[in-house]
Amino acid sequence: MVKFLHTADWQIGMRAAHVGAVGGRVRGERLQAARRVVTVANESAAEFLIVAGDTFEDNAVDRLLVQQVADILAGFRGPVFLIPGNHDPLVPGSVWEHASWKSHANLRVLTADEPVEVAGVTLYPCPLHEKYSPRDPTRWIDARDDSRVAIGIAHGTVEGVAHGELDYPIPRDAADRAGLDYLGLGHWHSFASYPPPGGSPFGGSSAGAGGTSALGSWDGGASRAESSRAESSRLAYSGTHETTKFGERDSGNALLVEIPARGEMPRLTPIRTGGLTWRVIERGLADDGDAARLRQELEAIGAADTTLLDVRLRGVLGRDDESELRRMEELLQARFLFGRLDASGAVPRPDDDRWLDELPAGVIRETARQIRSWSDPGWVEGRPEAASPEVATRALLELYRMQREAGE
Amino acid sequence: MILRGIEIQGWRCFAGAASVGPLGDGLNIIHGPNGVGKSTLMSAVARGLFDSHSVRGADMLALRPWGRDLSPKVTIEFDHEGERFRLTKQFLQGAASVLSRMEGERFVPLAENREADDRARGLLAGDAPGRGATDARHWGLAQILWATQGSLQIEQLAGRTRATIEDALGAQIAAPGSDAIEKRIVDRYGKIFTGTGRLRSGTTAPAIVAKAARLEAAAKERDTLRRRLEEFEEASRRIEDFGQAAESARREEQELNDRIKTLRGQAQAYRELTHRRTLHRQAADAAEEDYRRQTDKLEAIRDAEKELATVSQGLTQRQAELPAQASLVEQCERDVEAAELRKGEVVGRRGEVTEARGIAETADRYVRTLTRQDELEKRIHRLESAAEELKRLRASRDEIVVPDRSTMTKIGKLARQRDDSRLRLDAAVITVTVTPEADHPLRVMRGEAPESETLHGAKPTRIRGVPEVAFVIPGVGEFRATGPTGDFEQLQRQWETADGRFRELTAGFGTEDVAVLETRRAEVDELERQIEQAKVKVETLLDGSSLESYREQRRQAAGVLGEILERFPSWNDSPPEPADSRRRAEELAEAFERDVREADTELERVRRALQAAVQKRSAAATEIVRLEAETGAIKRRLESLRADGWDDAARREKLTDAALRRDTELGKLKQVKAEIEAFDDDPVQTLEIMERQLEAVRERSVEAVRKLDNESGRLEQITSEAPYSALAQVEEEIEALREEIARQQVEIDAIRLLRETLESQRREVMGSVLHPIQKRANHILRRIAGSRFEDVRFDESLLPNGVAPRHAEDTVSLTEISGGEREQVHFAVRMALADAAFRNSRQMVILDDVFTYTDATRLARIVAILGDFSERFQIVLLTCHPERYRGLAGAEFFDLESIDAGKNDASRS
Repeated sequence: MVKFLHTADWQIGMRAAHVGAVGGRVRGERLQAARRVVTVANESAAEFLIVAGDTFEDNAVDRLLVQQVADILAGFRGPVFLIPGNHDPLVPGSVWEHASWKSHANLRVLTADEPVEVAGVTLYPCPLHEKYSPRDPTRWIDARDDSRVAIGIAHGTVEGVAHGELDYPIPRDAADRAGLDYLGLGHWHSFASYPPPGGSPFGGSSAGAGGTSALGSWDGGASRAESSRAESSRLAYSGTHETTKFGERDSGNALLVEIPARGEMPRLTPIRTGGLTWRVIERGLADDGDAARLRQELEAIGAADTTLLDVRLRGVLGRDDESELRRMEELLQARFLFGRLDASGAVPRPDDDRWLDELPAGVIRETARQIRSWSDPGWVEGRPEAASPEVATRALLELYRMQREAGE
Repeated sequence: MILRGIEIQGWRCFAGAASVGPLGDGLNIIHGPNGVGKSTLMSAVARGLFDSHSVRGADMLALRPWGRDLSPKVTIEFDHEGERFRLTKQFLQGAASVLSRMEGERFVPLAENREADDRARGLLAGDAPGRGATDARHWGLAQILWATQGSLQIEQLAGRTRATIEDALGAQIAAPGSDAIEKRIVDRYGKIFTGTGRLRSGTTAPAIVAKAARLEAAAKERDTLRRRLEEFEEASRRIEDFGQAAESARREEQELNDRIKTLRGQAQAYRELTHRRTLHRQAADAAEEDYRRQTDKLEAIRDAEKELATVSQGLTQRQAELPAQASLVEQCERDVEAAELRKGEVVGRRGEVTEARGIAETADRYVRTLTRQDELEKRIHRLESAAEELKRLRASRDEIVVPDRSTMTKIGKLARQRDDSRLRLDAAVITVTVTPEADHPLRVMRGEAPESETLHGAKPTRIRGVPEVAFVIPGVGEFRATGPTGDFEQLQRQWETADGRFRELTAGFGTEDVAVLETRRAEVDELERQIEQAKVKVETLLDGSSLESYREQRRQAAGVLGEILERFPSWNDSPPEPADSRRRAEELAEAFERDVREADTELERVRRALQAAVQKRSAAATEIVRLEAETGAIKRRLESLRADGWDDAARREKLTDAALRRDTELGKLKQVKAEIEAFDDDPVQTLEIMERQLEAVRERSVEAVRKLDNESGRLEQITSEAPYSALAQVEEEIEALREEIARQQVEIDAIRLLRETLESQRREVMGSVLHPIQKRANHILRRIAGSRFEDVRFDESLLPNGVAPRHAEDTVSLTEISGGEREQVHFAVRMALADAAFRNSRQMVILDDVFTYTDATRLARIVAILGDFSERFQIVLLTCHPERYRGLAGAEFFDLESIDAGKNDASRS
């Protein structure tokens, strides 16, 4: 039995422009998650740890981060094997030239396409030397005559995951073709495993020939990783150890791999390592009180300090929703690690013109009616360039507030 | 409201009761001179309708007649909505207010005091002030309808007045409550934007401005970092390239070293072969040289033998030709001698030619001298005649005594001065002329006595004297004539001086008669002119010479002719013909020259023949000498060539040996060359190239390593800057700023949209309100002022703020037009507003002497307009010029002065 932890795509130093001001915090969380990976590895008694590329977001990251990562990995009791990925390829000036990799005895950066024998297993690393390439990085591997458990480490795109020209393409049958017991992959951030086509000594047991993995593909929607559920496959992405953005599924895990013996199917167990929760809430407002209910829902969300929220509203806004929107904005800003409210998809309720009639007759009321027309995205009778539905809606809300203030 | 009558009492100039009425529905002219109370009357109507009866204060106290403690009281009768009312209001002491309505045949009270005040005020939508008396601001609709003296301009429309107009025009600009919201919009807008619509800057700038500035700075920072990141990747790539280049150079150096090692062995063998090739080539060349030498010698002996035979034959032939050449020379010498003799004979004829030419020249000279002698004779004769005439003229001129021209001018001038003095002297003398009918004796007591002491009948006698003339005619009486005195003596002296100077100048000319002197002067002038002409004639004939000179020339010519005639006496009778003589001489000369040329030609020909014969004889001798010398030289050369002591057979054998030796060496040379050609290239040359290549590769390697080191240092520098990490932070900041700016931008855009839409709506509504008013006002103004103004411009207050002159784009402020035109604009606006506000009800318009600056022509037009308006409005005009309105049909006139005249009311006049 060989047991090790597979992780990849730490993207340390990653920019998080999409969350603006909390980008630094998000970056910091990636280091924290790295520490959790090491903790998981230690606690699960993994014999070694493989990092399948893109440990760093870029070769030009701060060298302090390199030192920090090396120090974190040094906390693992066993050896750590890393390969350069397409974000941190092995080129002059890369992070792999840093002295920290040589300062810890358990760290080994695999820089050549050649087998490496470690306790009871043979590693077949596929380090990358450039950012883009159409070549299959696993092509050189031939472990069919290897009597030891053969484990490949590569970074690339499994055929079928993405359309168009593949970057570092890896055939779905790469593990079987090369005679590997397991091929641990990096590059894509969601956990996904791929069943072999079957028929070979290294064929899978959980899927038919040429079928889709039980865990699904990237495009097909890989099933959500749950630590309580294990899968069997020879080819898998561990996914990133910490989610990088909104909408990224099945990320924030490390993969515990157990291989009973040479030729036997590995058992894959995703283990949660991510500390942040990225949530997208898309909500349609239709009735009076919908906005208030959503606000209450937001108030009920726990662990706000580690939660990033992207709230997108559409539908119609009632006359009283303006205050709810303001409250929600304040809530998102004050309570959560990050919160964004996009109400540009919401327009004033078409049949809620009562308040317009309460406006003083004359130019004020006519102004409100005109802007009310522009707030309708379906308005076809022309509008000034500056009177987009979003701006017009906002103008109406402002006018409504002024009316209330004037009446107080 | 239609005013029917006014009655006032205890009110300014109306201490007693006075009334005006009943007023008509149309035009009512209330007139009177200044101070009669026209404005007081209007004031009474306004106070009666709008002021509370209980109001006090200085304004109200001022209503009392001067020096009286009366309570001002006014009673106004008017029609409103088809009913007649009477409002009676007393101020100050006993203040009271009663509003009555005509019911049946009498007025029945409707309201009293405060209620009556409010009702009356409400009829024209007036306002009550907080305290004190009212003014025009509280007049409601009367703001438009009533204009006090000199105040046609409406300062500000009251809200209700404006609302009435808007309602009448079916538009509403702002309902109550609008102001508060509008103020908020404007305030919000003002916190963000400047008056010109730009975002505020500086300390009052909205937050978005600072964020935008920071965004711009961050974007620059980002661009810098991106470039730095590109430099990082570029440096990385270059290091790879330089590393590969260094490695490539190292491998290439190794390969070159291996090749050079092999080449060096090949080069040694190649050098040995080339050395041997040189030796064989030199031996072959030496054998070839020997062979060539032997061959040359044999050929030289053979050539010398042939040459000797040829030269000997030529020598014999030349020697045989020598005697014939000597005979030819002798014949030629004889020919030359004969030709020289012939030429001598021809040259001897030259004297004949010279003599013939001398005769021709002499004949020519003789004829020319003869002609000259004749010319001289004629000139000398004419000269002598002209000299005689000149002499005669000079003698005539010298006989006449006359002053010169300058003196003649002075004499004329002095004569005029003298005559002038005489005239003035004579004028100063008293002269009495007596012409009696019959003879009478005369006795002169003072004055110049006439020649006769008798006055002859019918004959005038003149008696002159200074300073008086007195004479007696016996039997008739004594006569005395006096005149002005004082300057006679001075005139006498002037005349004497002028006369003296005249006499001095004319003395010696035999006469003092200026006319005679002038005649003589003219004669002399004529003679002098003739003398000048004679002098010119003489000068012309002399032609720069003298008479003596001409006479000498004539004598010389006679001498020359004499000499020639001595030689040719026959010419005296028959003068020669020079042309014939010249022709004969030329014919002789031509024949002589032709014969000379022919003799010269012949002499030249025989001389050249002699020279050729002599040269040929000499050349033959020289050739014989040369051939003799050449024969000797050839013989010596043959001796030299044969000096080796061998015969020709021995020499040919030696030649064969040399040929064999040469062929042997050439064979060896060919073999070595074949061995050399076995090498594809020259290994020595290849080695040199390789060694140079090796040197270049080493240099390249060193350069690649140097660049690698440099680039590594650069990469290390960039790496230490961690550009990606810095870029990540900047881009996050940019995104945060963009999000925040976008959020604030929506808010700003929303406020701008609110404000601009509000303004747009206001303009639209204002347009609907203003347009009919503006159109009406323009129409009225054009009726008054013609087409001078195109358009009256209004602001949002519904009041005019300028006019647009015809053909001008800009609006002209009302303060920039004349006072009269300003009045006319305000009148037009008032009438347009009234027209707009009261479409369905007849109202009273009161104008109190408002046209202060309008000229008579335009006022006439205004009067016509008022006439038209009186069909829809009751017009009450208060004026001191009723005559201006007399032409209006239907106008009713009320003379206020009649009140002062004792009447207590002003009824229609």
